[in-house]
Amino acid sequence: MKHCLILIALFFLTPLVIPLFAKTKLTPVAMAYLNNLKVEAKKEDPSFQYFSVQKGQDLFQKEFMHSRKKKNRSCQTCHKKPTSTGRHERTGKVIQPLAPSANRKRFVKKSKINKWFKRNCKWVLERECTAKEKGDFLIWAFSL
Amino acid sequence: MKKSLSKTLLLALSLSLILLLPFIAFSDSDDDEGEDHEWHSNLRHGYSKHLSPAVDPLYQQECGACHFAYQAGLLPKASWEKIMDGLDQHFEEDASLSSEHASAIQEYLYANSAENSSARFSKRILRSLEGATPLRISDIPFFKHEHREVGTRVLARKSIRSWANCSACHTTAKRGIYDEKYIQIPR
Repeated sequence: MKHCLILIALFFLTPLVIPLFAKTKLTPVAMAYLNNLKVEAKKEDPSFQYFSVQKGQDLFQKEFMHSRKKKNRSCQTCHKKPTSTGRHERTGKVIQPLAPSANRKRFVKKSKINKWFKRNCKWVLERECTAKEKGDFLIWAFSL
Repeated sequence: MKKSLSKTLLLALSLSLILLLPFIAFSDSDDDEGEDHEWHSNLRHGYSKHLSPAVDPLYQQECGACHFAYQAGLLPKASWEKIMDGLDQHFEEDASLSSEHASAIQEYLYANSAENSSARFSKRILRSLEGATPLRISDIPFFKHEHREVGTRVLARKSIRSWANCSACHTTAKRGIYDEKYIQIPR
């Protein structure tokens, strides 16, 4: 019973804890998005407690061998250094900075966040990302 | 006597100023011999030299996020149809769109495809294609001919990378202007 209470308390405290990590203030959209992810992450794994900035960074840097292309892919392949411009691996098009501290247009529209998580997770991991992965990534991006 | 002389002088001066005013005010518009002038003179002959820019905001947002937003007049309608029908396998990438976005973009592309473009460029593209409907702009014979002097090593430069990256060298590509005089090949 006591255990359960602590878990519940932690669950409600997380929204208060997350902004402490953030360097750039979370947009209202990002805040709502994170709260949604938290509910989802809890469904995926009942022992879920926090999102982690470190795990977000690890995910950004981790290389995944693409099954068809036989080539390593990561978020970094195109986004390069998140606080400066990146470059699309195939088309050469310049990509605006990923970090909200360097690009205020990031994470301000829910449909866009959904779209790019879906498309880019499929490109790098060949599957959609879990809510935990997305949450980690998001708070890491805002910590930059 | 002296006073009346200065009076007439003043009168002449102000008169000449009034007469000259229209010339001074409008002299600006005359020496605008740049590309705009070219554009308009071409329009008067029923065609334009340059492609009309891809101004559709949805097209810019959805397609232009990953690659240069090619002007619709660079490909015939049948090519755009093939591309829009295979977005889930778009040059080996999944670029699928929601159905509303897809149909809006389709409408824009079809309405402005090479057949519907008044640009001389589009006409030359269509002529060189002889009915072919490639997926890649870089497969158009006219494109190949125009780029025949660009070597593979130049293309492989990090700042260029791909034929898809029009604006890497064509500094005015966004405005639909591909004239040689605006080319700057980056290091």
